[in-house]
Amino acid sequence: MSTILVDTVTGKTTATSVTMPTTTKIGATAIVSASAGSATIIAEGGTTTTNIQQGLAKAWTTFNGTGTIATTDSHNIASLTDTATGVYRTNFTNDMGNAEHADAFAYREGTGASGTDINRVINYNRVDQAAGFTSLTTQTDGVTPLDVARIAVMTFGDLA
Amino acid sequence: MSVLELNGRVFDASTTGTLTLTGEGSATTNVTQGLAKSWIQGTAASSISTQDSFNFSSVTDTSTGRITPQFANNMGNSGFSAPMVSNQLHMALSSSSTSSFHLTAYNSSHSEVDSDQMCSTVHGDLA
Repeated sequence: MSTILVDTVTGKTTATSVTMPTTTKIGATAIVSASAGSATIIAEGGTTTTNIQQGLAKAWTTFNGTGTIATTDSHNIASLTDTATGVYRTNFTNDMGNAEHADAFAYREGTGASGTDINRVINYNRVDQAAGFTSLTTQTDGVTPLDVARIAVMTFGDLA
Repeated sequence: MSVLELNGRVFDASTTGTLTLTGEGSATTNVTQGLAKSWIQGTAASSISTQDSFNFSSVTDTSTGRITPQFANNMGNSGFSAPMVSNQLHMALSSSSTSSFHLTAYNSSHSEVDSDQMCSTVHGDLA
């Protein structure tokens, strides 16, 4: 194996772009890009590989769910929709490839042990799912729809 | 060489199975640890099926309200993180091993009940 000893590589056609081979090693860690949209990397055990794109959260957000809803931080979220009391949509900037994305939700309690937002439930809104958004519901454990103060959403799956 | 710099972003693979990357600020983040190692959306209503998934080889209808996905590539330990949601009242991780785990849905009476939409993501170390 030959060695090229340089500190900086510059693209010939476009200075900031260099095409690497399908398998590129950084030290002993191989990143294999066998097909478009699919790159694998060796995992923690040192043998099994895992798919980078499949493992990435495609969207996440934390938002205030009472009053005028507002995002506190997000990734790939274009907007939020306050569909009804205790019903929200997180609308993607770049849509998912199908409606069957995997999501995780959590809510934050409001004002302490004797305050609001205790014993709430956060769930999928099964009648309102699409590639362009995730829909979720919040309710009391008596199954009455109710807005909650803070909500977190993560979305995994295939981008379109 | 264990470090690759792309326009100021540093990929460091000094340790096998670990790839760190400069984060949004100045700190580095671990790419490998940050990846979900599997995720699934499935149904266990009239019959069990998987709508979409990553790194699961099969799913078993273990009992009413409970499904058991089996990993294609196993986890390195059973202490992985697996948040889960459904369209029932609440969900629980009822047991886990390096090769599978149970997702159980409960109704408003806190009884196990089948759900036609169950979902989970798994974070942790692959074997």
